[in-house]
Amino acid sequence: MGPGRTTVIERASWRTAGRLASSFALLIAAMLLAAGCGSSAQSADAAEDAPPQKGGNLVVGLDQQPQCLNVVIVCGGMAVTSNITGPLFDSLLTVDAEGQDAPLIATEVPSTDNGRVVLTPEGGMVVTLDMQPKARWSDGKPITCEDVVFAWKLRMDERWLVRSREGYNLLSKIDCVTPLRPVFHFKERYAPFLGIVGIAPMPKHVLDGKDFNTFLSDEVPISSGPFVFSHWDRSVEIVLKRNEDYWNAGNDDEPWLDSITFKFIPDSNTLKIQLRTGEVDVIAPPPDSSLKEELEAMPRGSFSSEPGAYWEQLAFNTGKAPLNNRDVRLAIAFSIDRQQLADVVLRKQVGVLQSTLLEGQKDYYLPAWKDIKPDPKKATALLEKAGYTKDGAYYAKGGKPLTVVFKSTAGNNLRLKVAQLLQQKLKGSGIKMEIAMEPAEVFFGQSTIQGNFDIALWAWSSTTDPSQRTLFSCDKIPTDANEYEGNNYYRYCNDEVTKLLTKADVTPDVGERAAAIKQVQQLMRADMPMIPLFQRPDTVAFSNRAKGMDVNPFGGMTWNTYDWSVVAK
Amino acid sequence: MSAAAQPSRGHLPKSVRAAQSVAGGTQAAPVRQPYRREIEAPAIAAPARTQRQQVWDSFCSHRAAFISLIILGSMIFICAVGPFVLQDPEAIDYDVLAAQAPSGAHLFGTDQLGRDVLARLVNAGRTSLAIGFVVAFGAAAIGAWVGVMAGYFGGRVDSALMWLVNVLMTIPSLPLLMSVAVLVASPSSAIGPLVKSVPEWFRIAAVLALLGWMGISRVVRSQVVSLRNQEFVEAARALGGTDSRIMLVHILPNCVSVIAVFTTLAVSGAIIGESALSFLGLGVSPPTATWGNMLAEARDLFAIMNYWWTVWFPALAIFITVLSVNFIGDGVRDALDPKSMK
Amino acid sequence: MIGFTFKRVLSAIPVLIVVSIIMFMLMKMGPNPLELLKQDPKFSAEDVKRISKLNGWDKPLVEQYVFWGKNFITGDLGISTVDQRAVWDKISERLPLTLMVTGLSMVVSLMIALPIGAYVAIHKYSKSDYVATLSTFAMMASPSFFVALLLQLAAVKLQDMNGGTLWFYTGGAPACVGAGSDSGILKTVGSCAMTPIEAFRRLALPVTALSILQIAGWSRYMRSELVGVLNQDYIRSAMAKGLSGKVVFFRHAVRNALLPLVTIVALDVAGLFGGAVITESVFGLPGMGGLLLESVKSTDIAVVLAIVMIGATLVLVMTTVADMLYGILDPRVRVN
Repeated sequence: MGPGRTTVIERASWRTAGRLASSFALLIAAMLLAAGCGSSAQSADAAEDAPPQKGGNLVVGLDQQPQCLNVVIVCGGMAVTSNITGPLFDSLLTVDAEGQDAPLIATEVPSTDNGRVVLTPEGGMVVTLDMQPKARWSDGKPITCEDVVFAWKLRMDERWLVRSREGYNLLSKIDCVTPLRPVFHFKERYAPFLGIVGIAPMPKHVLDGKDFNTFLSDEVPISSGPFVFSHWDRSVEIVLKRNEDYWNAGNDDEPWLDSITFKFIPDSNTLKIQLRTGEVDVIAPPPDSSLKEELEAMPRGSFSSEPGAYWEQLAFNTGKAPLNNRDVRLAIAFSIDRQQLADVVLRKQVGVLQSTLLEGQKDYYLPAWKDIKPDPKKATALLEKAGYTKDGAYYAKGGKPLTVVFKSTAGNNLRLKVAQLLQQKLKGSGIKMEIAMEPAEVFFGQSTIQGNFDIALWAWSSTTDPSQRTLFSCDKIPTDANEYEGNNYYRYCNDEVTKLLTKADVTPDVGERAAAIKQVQQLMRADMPMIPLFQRPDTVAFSNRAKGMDVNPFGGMTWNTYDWSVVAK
Repeated sequence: MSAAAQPSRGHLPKSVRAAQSVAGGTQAAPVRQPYRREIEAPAIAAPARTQRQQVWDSFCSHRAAFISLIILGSMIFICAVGPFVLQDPEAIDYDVLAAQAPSGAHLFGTDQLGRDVLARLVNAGRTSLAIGFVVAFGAAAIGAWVGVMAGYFGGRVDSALMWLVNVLMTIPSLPLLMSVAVLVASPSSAIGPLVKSVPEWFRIAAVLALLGWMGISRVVRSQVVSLRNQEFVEAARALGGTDSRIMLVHILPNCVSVIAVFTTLAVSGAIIGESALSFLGLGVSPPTATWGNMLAEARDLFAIMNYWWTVWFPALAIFITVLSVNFIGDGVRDALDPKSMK
Repeated sequence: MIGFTFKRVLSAIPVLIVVSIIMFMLMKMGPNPLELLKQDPKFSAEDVKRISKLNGWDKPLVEQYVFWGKNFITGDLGISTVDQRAVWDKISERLPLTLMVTGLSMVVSLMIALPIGAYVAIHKYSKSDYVATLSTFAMMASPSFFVALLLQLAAVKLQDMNGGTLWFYTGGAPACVGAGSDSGILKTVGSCAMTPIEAFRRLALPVTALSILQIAGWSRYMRSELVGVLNQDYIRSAMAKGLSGKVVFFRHAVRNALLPLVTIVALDVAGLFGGAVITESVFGLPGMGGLLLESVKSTDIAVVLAIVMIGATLVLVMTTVADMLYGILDPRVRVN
């Protein structure tokens, strides 16, 4: 069976060099702090063409501080933890600048086409990887298949407070055919397997026999990535130093930087001020309407921004009146102006999202919602078809005006702005919308799970894997009976969709899987349980002494620290 | 010096704490301890208009206070009437959809959504002022009631009530304020569902009032203790006055001056307090606007450099209101303090 | 004196117990931390049960309270439920910076507020009095986060005027406080004293922001106290005796006016411990205020209770100290 529960944060985890991610990506508590990433640099440095210079330190300003440094266990769940520890752990697979799967320690990305993924007649599958012989830990010991097996066993060990075993629990064993060739045996066919086999090896010779719950909490004594841990002054800074013996150093002997300092400033407004004053060199500011203008106006700096992995969507509760009526949902879809929302709320920093998948998920992307454009006449016709009649300013049925309750998280300006624009638009269509902004713990902890809303606005976060079964499949509607498992808060149930999503999750072949997922998109466009709005822009802003920052929606802010450098003065 | 001066001195600092605790422990306008002379001048059954007249004249002679009263009065008037005259504060100007400098169409400009800043300010003022007054009167009422009860009945009632006040004042005010604010703000808390139907601004006002009455209760109590055995109270008792009547008719009016000063200052404390809570994300949540959350939302270096009107106008609204209220408080104190009468 | 202290300690015990019960109940009634965990889709029902058990949340309330109380008395502040670290570690790594910032601002404010208060008290109803009154009221009327923003703006403008040289940092703790939980307060202060320029450039803005409010309050207070004292008969008789104005003013008036300030300052010293949540957050200072805010928001009971209990104890101790000092300084008051 496919993935049970979603694991978004997980993926945001050891990644940088590895989308360890398990299946998909939904960070529910999609806070504003989505890390940055990107690839359309707007910088116009004079020094742009000069080759990077070796040496120097860059200061990265972060508005959050990790609780511990171990991304595998519970306390390491924050995005900031993976951003900081990312440069310390290279994994077997990674994402490249385009957000596509790419090999890192492994020699190539496994697929059915290259014969590295073999389906067994018993219903399981076997994935074979080869590891680069030059890969080694910062202490000089080679990174071997043993370390891969050890990393898996750590996750499966009952003693450790592991955040998620999603997908890893489908492995029956990992064979070390040779010290550099791990063979992963899956009990079932599991389409999002790349997230599992792309695991970051863990140093068996250091960690064996240690208490994994605490050993990596305060310091990381070893590294397989371009940097090594130096020190952590709690609440002040974490410093990483160059891994002088980095196995993947290129011809120019990267990484360029001597060190990276992560500084913790809890106020994101102050972070921007500090970038301007030069107190920090790199920040990943949360998306905001005026962010672009603000960064453009900033002296001594530039930025890179691109649609990120978090995408905002308008959820309709199909489980109760009035939105259990498809015509009403469609009427709302035709009432709103998504282009305007994106233009106004994010000042044209991103375009409208037309799918539940992102363009970066190339093989699976289909812009199914493209034809949904504001059309008041259609909206009116649909409402009348649904049995509503105009009664004063609002449509009504049985004497009751058509009223919908909109919910979202409080304290998020972007969402509030969307809500207010939406309210005005729906009013124009004769639909009364009440806004209730709730604290995140209530919104995500109760309202969405219990289906206590009509329209809701939140963001999912995507990984390179397109699995969305937990979002839209009938058996993933959280109820008392299934102990509130699943994230189908839409209460959306279409047997055809469920069948296709289930099939997609057990079809490792990309072509076949893509066909099923594209079909789902079209079915959902017709049923309209939700309407995608836009991807939140991921932005990295940096001072004019910093160079090499590049936004990568699936990689996190620090995915290419290897390329970072200080501009020669 | 006379021994009689001692108790009054000993209480001085506490009256200061009174003001502090209302202001969330950050803003303290010192309240002077009422002087004994004033206490000893028994004001039985409001001695005619002349005294009131005197107080009013004295207040008006405090020029800053008088001007402040006019300013505050106009603020209240504008906020009361404004929403009927001005455009819908939440209306989004689709032609603009951006921050627009002050102009004829938008006197105070528009915010980044194209909403009229003036209309929002006026609307927010209703909430902010309402919070200010509810907190002030609420805290004064609780504090006065507790103080009068403790002072009048003395004995066990007194020690029990004052012990409670002592305990509450021992708890550091910030953690107390924040945890109670989280408590009423979060529907997942134990009392969350109970207060769900109460408007948010009122919940926040109630929190500030419930945590801000202790200081005044001490001051009132010490006044009442010295009044309780005065001849006019004895006389009222001899004439068969009930306890509640004596407290209400004879004792409370003699505490009016301290209560009035406290109440005024509590208004400004509450407005500042609400803005602080808004900054911490525990205040009234948008889209309901308050001056505090408008300012907290607009607080941004870029905004203050480029869209100064979105930041400065809410800041000025708070500033002018609090300033006026403080001056009025100053004036009220001078007017009611016989010592400063010339 | 010993008897007095003993009595005070005895009477403090029930107060502290009730304080702890009130805060315990408040926190328990607050948002359920398990609800926060449930937001994370990866937490299964078993995970939630396991974590609840691990933290002892499945036991009856009374039992939880007694458990906490027993540990607290023996000096064990417990474990944070957010990151499983010892509460004392979390507090002790934040305390040095907070004490430095709040302590410095207190010293600065007293040094500015007292002379101003004294000056305007002598020149009552003069122009300078009005100016001082207006500016103190203005300080009180500005929300502290706005003041902080203006200070940051000023630092940025100053930098632009200086052609890019930054004088005052707009945020962040001085490097000297970053040594983590193993460095004590004295050690931190010592190492900051070794790098006074860096410390000054870092702390100038937050200390100014904090001082502004205190200066306003204290100078008003000083003024009204001194005005009251100067009106007293004994000042007049001292003057009549032919003592010089200076002697009368400093030896009699100021001294007596400062007496009540002792109590206020003592209580404010107790308040230093809690930090300044808004200033700390704007200027990115990892102090007690930030810890408190995080802990309250995530219902980290052990941390909040520890901060409250230490704070409450300090209040009680400082009140006692103030009363004793008062007895020593003011011959009319005898502690008994």
